Amino acid sequence: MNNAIRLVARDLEVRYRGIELVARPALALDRLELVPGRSVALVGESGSGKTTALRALLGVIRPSAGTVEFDGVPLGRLRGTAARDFRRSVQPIQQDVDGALDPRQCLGDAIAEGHRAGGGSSRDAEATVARLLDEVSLPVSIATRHPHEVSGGQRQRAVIARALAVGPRLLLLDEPTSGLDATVQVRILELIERLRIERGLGLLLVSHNLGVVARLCEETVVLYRGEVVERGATRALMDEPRHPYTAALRRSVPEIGVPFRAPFNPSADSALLDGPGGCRFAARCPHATSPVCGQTQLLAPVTDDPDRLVRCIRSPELGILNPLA
Amino acid sequence: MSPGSPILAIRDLAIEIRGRRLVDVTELSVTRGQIVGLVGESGAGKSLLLSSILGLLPADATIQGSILFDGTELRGAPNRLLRDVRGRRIAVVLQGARAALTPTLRTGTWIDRALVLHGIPAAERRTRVAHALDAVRLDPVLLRRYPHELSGGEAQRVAIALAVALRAELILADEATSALDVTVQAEVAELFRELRQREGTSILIVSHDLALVAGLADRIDIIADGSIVERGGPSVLSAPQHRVTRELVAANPTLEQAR
Repeated sequence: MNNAIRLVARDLEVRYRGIELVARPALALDRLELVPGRSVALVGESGSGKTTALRALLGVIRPSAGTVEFDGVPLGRLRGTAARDFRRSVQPIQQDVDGALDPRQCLGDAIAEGHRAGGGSSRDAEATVARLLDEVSLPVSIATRHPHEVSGGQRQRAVIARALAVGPRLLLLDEPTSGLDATVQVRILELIERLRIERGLGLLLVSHNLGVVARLCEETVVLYRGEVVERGATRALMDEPRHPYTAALRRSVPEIGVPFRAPFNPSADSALLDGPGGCRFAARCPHATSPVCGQTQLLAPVTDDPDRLVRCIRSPELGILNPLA
Repeated sequence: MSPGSPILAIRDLAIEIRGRRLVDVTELSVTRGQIVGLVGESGAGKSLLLSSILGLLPADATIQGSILFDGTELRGAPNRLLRDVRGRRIAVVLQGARAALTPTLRTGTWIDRALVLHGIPAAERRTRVAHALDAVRLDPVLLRRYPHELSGGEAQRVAIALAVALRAELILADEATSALDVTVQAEVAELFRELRQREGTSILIVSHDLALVAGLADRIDIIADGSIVERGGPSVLSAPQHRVTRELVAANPTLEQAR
């Protein structure tokens, strides 16, 4: 198995046929690089293109433009051992945990299937299943249970164990904790964090909740309606957001001890909505003004923070936004 | 209808199913214009408690105690009375509001039929709907849409709009925002706060999300194994006494843990 793998997306564009606003792609992502040991978050609300990006990185949808390369080879051209290596090294954890497991298959068999798919032999399957169940903190006795006989949190752990059975180097996780109780959610996040350290995994974490990604990922990419609006180091992005949408996302995460705040401008100027190249967030943005926000917005570096990119024409004058204001 | 009087008062409520006591609540009340949060994990008894208020417990459940709504006993009340209260005076907003809408009806028709069902005269229906849409900030064009053409947040707003149009006095919100994106969740939560302010609606928010409830509610009741284990204003969370409350507080993914 190749240990120093690299999954890179460049100038990615995905368009869906028959969807309104055909002029604009469902996703445009200039650059995304995944390597073992590093974690990146894709954050945004429904329709922002998060899941589309994840699917393009898995090779299950073909981009309309740009490339996704695994160790320098475009996904569409992977053959033989390279293709097998890709499928083993890059494992998805889907949002719909219930749909990810066969209801008629017991959990132990599901994990053993992952073990064989990763090239493991049937002889040591049982021992591997026991070891993996232990690794995700599930009792070995759960191996004979079916998905409906265990809790939602246990199902999520079993799905993670099955992904690990294949021997991945990168995990692509789509909302791995949505639908779980808060206390269960935090334990699943702890598990993912521990696995990442112990196995040196690379992570791509897709979520609408900045609070969930905050503890897991060094780098965060914020998507809004298919476009990257801001990217940078997670901590800096949360404490000192530059794009008004990032600030709104930050405000939307409920926090104990912080009174509830409305995230958006309730009376935005709808004339700013959907100019041909204009800011897509303008209609909800408290800082939007005509006509500058109707102009083409470019993803530009921030002068005093070289790791930060912001797509907001007013950013230089707005500066750091107060995330709690 | 004076503010400060209880709209809902539950006393010594015990619900058993097949010999197991699943809810055992000594006292829970909501005063007019108040937002109360009921927080607990799956299986704590939250939804069963809500069902009992609406007289919708499973057939094999036995119930003891008292549920007063605006001074009227709902437990064991005749169906005629419950039908008038349920949906009209007490509105329910569930996690998947889209499932509450009828898939073959445009949302406007769905709202109108509910108003007809509750005997609102035709002349009044139009003004009520217009006011409700304005209150939940929904574009009237959505009245022509079918449920599958709405986003999750829009469907939630339509369900709340119906509660406003019926002039519900109490809204029971059962995980009403948990399936929504955080940004949309924040918008719906803001809407609840506006409704309380502008319409004087009382709201009982049931959720497993402590942080959301803490930012909205005047009072928080923590429920575990069917009983209220801790109660207080949002400040109770800064010094939680009960183990379950502490766990819920600790589980809240705070932004302070960011790398």
